[in-house]
Amino acid sequence: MTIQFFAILLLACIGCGSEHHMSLMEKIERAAPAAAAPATDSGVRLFSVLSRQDKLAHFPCRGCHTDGFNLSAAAKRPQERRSHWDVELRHAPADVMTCATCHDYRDLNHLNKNNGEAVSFDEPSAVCRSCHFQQFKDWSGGAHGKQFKSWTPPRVRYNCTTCHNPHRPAFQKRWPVTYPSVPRRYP
Amino acid sequence: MSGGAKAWFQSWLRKWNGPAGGCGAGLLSKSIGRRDALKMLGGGAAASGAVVNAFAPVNLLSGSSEEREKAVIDWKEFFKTNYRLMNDRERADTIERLERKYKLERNLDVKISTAGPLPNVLYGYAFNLSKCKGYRECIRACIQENNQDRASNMQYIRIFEKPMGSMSVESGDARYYHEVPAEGHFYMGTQCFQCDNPPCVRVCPTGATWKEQDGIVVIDYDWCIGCRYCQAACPYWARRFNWKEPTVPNEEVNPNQHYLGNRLRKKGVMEKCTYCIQRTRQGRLPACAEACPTGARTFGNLLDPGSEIRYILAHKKVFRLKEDLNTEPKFWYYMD
Repeated sequence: MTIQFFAILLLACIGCGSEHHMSLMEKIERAAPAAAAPATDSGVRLFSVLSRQDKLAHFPCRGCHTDGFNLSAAAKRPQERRSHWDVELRHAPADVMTCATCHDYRDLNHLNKNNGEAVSFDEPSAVCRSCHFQQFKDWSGGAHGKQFKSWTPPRVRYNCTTCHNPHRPAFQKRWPVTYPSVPRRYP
Repeated sequence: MSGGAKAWFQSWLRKWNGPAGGCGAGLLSKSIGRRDALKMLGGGAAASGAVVNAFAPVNLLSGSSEEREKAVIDWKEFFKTNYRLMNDRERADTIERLERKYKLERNLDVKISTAGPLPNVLYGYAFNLSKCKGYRECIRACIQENNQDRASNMQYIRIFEKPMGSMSVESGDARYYHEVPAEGHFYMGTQCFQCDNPPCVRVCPTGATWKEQDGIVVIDYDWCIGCRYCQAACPYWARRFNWKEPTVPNEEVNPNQHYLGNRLRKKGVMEKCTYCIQRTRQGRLPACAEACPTGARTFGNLLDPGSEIRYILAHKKVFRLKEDLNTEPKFWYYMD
């Protein structure tokens, strides 16, 4: 009885080794084992990002803001025409962030990080990650954001600000672009 | 072939044997099968004008040279074999015929590819449930890319609107039409999941659908008889049937086509999502993934350990629809 049981067990184990019983994930793992998780803080990035600076309408900012920006001085001249009338900051409560949280008032051609370091408009993720570290981690691996046109290496990803308006980052409510087409009886 | 039809066919062959002489006599004296005989007729018709008159179907005898050319193309197309059995020459021939056919019939310039699977590639897809907002941009891109029937508004992708806190596919509403995202709802897209163990392939009586090396389940539209067994077998409602001749205005036809993908279909055949085989085999993203404005869709090579899709499978809590059926879809859902 016991011998029979072990014989059956042995046969079952041999059976499991065949391709037929392998799940899809087992097949994939066998063909190409997972790589070590990319270290998000190592500074080594295995993809490039879309440029952003060339798409900014008013860049270079120093064309107007020749010697930086003085908020208190500007606040004293409210009647002056405001160039950035369309910018409405709906990102975080006012006690959490102001324009200066991201923009470098000393040199408006750059953004600034939490530690005051200047960052190019082409690399906004360096600024965004100060708060959105989880999203940055996902984006670095590929679970957040968008691939650019191709699934093959060399990999190119969308920038944070390609999709998100940094002044109003949430996606807005709108109508769907197509009508549904679902037969009545089908789910 | 029934007795009456056979007798008619033989008399028809004899009737048209006269003017062309030797070639036709050879045809009759040899013992050949029906399919070969009909193929030879088509072959003869293409050779020269005189032979066209002698051997092409009766409705060819009058009409312009263009009409005759079209009839010859139709004749040869009718007797071609399953795509998987064709050699490179036969594939090139049928592509040439199809491209010429669209030019003659609709004045359309299309480019049909027969690109095969790339080596060491297995396609996979991931869908982020917390990112999709239900804008249906993917559906619009899919329709334009894949030349789907405009009259019946055929769509491969469905976006289900589901109340927060529910995970059952039964409670989804794919017919929503209001401003999105709706309060208290999330969105879940479905399409063909290109199962690794596809039930649709197993039931096809003619071998018109199969799984390619890169994991894409494809259909040979010229070999499908429209029995819709596959539609019944698919547990995900992923397959669509052309009840009528599909209509796509000339100016909206996507000319970059693939034989197994978005080439123009006809009445009475099945079709479905192919992960945009005409794009992905060139290294491009499927149209839905490229169109998604929220980044909910990720596409990639499951055999590339550095790909985005592999990162998601390794680092996110993923699931697939109806996993208990053991269909092994290559389409994963995950949340942030």
